[in-house]
Amino acid sequence: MENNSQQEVSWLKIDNAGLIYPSASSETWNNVFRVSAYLNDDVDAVVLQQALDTVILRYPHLNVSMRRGFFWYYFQTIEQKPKVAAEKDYPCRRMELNSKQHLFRVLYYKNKVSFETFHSLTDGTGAICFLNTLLGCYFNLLGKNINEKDLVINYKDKPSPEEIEDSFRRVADKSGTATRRSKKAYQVYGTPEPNGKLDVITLTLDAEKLHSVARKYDATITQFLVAAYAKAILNYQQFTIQKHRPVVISVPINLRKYYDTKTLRNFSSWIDIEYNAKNAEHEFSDLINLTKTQMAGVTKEYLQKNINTNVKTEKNFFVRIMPLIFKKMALQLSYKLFGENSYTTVLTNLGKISAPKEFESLVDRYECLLCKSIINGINVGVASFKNKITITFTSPIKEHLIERDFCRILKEFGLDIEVNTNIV
Amino acid sequence: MKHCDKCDVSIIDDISNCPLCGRDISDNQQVSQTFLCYPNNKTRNDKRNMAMNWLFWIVVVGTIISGIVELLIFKHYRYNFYVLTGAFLAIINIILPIKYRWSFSAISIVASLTLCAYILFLELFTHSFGWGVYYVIPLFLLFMTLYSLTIILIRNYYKRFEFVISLIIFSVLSLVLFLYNYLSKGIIWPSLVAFLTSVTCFIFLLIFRFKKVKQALEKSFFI
Repeated sequence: MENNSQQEVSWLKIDNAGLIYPSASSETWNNVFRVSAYLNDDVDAVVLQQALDTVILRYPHLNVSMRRGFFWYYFQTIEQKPKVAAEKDYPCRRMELNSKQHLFRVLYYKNKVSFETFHSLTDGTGAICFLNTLLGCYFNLLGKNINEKDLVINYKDKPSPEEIEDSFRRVADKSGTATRRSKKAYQVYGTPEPNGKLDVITLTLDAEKLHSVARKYDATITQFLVAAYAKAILNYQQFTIQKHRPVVISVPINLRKYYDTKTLRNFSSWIDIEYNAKNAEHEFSDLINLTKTQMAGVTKEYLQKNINTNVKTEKNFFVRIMPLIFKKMALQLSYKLFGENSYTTVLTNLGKISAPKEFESLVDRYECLLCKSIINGINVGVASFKNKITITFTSPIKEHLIERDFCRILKEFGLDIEVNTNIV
Repeated sequence: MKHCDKCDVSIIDDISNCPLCGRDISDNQQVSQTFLCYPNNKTRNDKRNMAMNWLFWIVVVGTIISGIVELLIFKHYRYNFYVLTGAFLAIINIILPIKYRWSFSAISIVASLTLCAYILFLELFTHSFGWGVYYVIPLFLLFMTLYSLTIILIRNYYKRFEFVISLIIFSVLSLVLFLYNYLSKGIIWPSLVAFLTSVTCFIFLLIFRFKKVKQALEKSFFI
């Protein structure tokens, strides 16, 4: 925070994880993700706007627009109030960065409230926090009596500096750095949808049933889903010419579980789970074991090294003094070559959504949608609430064979699946 | 809800084809009420970007055509230098700012720099060196300095302290012009007035708006 006053934040540096996104943005793409909540009743737009007007004051790090400095981008606080809007376009549309507008959208459609945000502002956990605070305020305005103290963030409290700190810079130390994987991973290609349209397919399952199936393999839901997803991609890869390339699934990790922090900004890392084409012939149990072995590598030491590497790069003298115009070119190139090329897809699991008890009778389910990537053809977001788990595939390509095969794999375990989509 | 027998999944949305296999499920008997979880997405093009792309190509094609016509009729390319530089100015100062949504301060800096360069080019091209460097450019910089100060001083005008950066750039340019004119024994009063005005404005801001000037410089130049 660049202003010591607790209430007044005039400008903010972008956190370590968020630095790459404005530079990697292009005319047609930038990293926007969405979290949605399906309510049991239709949304009242007027009340939702009132709730947003109240809640935004509690989240000063969201009440900003993006500006260009000479060396880095930064966030500038803006005075205009954000507006809720009816959902009309396809999800996760590109966010306009160089305008004096907010870098998020609050959208409603029938019984659904969605929060779309540029990834430099916050991560999935921060986004869910905001959405739930917004819903808490919305329900209270409708007279539903939600106890604000049960929300992760009470919208009646004042924002604290710890909530908008860059925890990466605080926790980074000199204990060592990680070596980056530079091998090219298998990429899913297909017929692109016109005008950058994003196809969404959401599978809704019984969380308890899925959990019991995963337990049979002594695995967590994330490990089970990653293995099933890997199986589907490996099956698909057999019919392509890129058989020699490994399938790499990048799984984001919430660092708040490992470090003491209250930050609502980006604070996540990732692990790459790698499979080779020979794994396609293996039994599903072998794939799960392979996944579990690799995910066991997520230790505090591993995460610390990852954080140190990123912070060290940011603090590098030559990187710091490089004018933004050259920095942008270098970052854009490295993001394509070493960022997206090194993994096949992303599977993020927001886990069980933490919400007040009263939400159970008001909210049906949550969804998490990742945007398309520059290169990668498909991404997956998972969220669970009450007894429902949603697995959302987002893809800018017309073919949906991987999603179909993933469904088939889950059906083999006797799981019932409900599908919703924006494909018509 | 509809059901796809091939994929064995229930489909929440009221759609006619299974999103996974594409099979027609329009005749499928509905088990319960169907919903639409997404609006009927009509992919829309960014009209502003499209318009700017069209404008860009109109400018480029227009310039090429006028060049060819001049070459064919007059057998030289003298007049088209004006067209070419005008087109270049239009692209830099109109098309790019609208397309990439530049801030007003960025537009004022870029416009000033390109216009100064254009005036210099005209001087050299028309072999009438002096009027631009001695009068037009310094007085233009003086005008831009006063314009920037006015914007800064207008309260609640989006807190445009980015214009402090413009002010610094204009004072540096004025100083360069003054030194050049002084060393080449040209007319120095316009560039001296421009330089002194911009420095006075900057000192005025430092005294009366120190906190905001410091902040504007901090956020623009932090490393």
